[in-house]
Amino acid sequence: MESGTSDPKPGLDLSWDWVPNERVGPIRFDAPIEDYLEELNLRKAIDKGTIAAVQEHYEVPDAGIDIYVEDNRVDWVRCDRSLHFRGHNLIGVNEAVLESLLGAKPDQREEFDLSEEDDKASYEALDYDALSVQVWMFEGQVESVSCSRDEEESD
Amino acid sequence: MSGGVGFDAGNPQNRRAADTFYEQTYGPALRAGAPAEVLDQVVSMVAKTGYLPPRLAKDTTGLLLGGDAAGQVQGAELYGRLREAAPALVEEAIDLEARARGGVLKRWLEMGLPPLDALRHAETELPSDGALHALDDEETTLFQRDLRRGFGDAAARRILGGLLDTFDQRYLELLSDGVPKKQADLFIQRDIGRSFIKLEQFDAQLADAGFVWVERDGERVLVPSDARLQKMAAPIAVAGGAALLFTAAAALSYSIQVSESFGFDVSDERRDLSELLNSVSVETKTLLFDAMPLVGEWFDQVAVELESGEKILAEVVGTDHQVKQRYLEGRGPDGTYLVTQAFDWIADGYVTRTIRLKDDPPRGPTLSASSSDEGTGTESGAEGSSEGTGASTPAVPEEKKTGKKARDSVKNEPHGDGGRAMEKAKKQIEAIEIQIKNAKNKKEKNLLRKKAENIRKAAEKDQKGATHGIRHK
Repeated sequence: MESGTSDPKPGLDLSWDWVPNERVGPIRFDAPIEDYLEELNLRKAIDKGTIAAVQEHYEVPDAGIDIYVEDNRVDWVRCDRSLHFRGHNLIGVNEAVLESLLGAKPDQREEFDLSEEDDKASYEALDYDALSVQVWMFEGQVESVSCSRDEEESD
Repeated sequence: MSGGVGFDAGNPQNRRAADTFYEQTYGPALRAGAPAEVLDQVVSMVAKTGYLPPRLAKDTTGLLLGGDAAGQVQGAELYGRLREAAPALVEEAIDLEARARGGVLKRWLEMGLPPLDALRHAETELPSDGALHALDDEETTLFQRDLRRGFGDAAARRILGGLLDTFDQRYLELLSDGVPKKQADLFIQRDIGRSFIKLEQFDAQLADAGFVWVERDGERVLVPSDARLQKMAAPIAVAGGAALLFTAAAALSYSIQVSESFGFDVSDERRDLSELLNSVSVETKTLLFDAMPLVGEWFDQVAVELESGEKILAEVVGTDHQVKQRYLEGRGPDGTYLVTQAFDWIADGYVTRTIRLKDDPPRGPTLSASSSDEGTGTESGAEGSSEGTGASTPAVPEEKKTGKKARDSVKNEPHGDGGRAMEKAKKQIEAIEIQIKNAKNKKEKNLLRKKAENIRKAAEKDQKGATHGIRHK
């Protein structure tokens, strides 16, 4: 999943700002993924680890951005390096700042203890329904942000 | 020139050219009582170039303050139109008294009165031989009395002159903007009244905190209302007691509050107060900010009461002005607390809505999923429940909830509890995948997919032995 060193790195030059329910950087929800393949030098992610991904997805090289697709259209986007909202990078902020920026408290929170070590912190997933965003916290800081658009209640 | 094409008001050469052009083309005509079309051209020139030649400002001032009736009317017309076309330039270039007189006369002219009638009304409202003061003699006496009552004789004497100048300035600005004199008088009285009300409110807050004002040698001095504390006359640096700190902080705060309410710069006082507060313990500061919240607000610090009744000092880390909510963090007996406060219009201040520990203590050897409701009413309830949004991780079989293994790597070294953690993540994802299949709608499906994928990513990262201490840049 690592990018090759000889490739261009468009992801580094882009501003990954988030407009809730609309887009992340240049990537619009529900747009055909082929619109971005060349522009963003996307690579289809190949599972190398023990666990298979639950969904087909693409990576933006060197940007910490994963684009998950359904029927070849952008379904949701996960960012773990940079995601700007209201002028702040959400990655790395604490929960108080996060709440201040999002202007809301999470509708749901769930803790995930992924480690077998006693002294290791748990992850926490915070869901903000109206914003269609799931924020993962680790050790009090935002670890990643997964954005999608508000879907109809019926599939 | 008249078109202003390519004119740069910041360029000295351009400005000199405009000055010359004005002086040769319009200046003499204006001073001799120019026809209306010359006024049109002059105003148009200023509007298009964004530049007001100093000589034009001087001519306008001369017309307004001169003894010639026709000149005053022409000056008022010119001033009024320049004010409309380039207010900032006019404010900067034309004398304040001239602007005030121009504003008054222009207002009467705009009412459609013949020029001589307008002049007569303007003269009555603002006599040309009278001083332009916001307060008349009687009002000044009353104001002096109130000041003495608020500050003591000596301080009142010191600050009276500066305050009266400030009011005069504000008064003339109002007149120059065309505000009728009676209304300007009311505005000034209203501002004074508001300032004194603020002082009274602050006095009330001080009284609640246990302080009273007493007059000593013509100065108004703040002392603790408790007679025993009043005897502690040692300097703060020597005594260092909380009561004396309160006295000093309250006195400084009072001085800041008073000065700010009358529009003075108070940066020095703020610095002094800041230094004073930095020299004391958190406990003392908490006591102080609890007694005098306003002082804490200036430094974004608030005394917050925990459920146990204990008070901690919390810092404002973010404010959402749209929903009038703010977020605070403070150290308490069990760790760092996250506090949410909402503005209460009735209490006229922020009140605490939620308090929780930032790093909750470990919740036992669960494999996953303890949820907490943050008051939204949408959260699934008990551990492992799939009710609510249906998105929680399903209950984990009891036999899986075994205790954690002993740690096998040192924190801040590359680590990873290897296969066990990966296996744990895999089980969790499998459980979520079952939920995805049964999801009621796309929204729920997406929520679960995000969870599963984030678990996978976290597990992979751990397996690679990421060092958490440096993960965020």
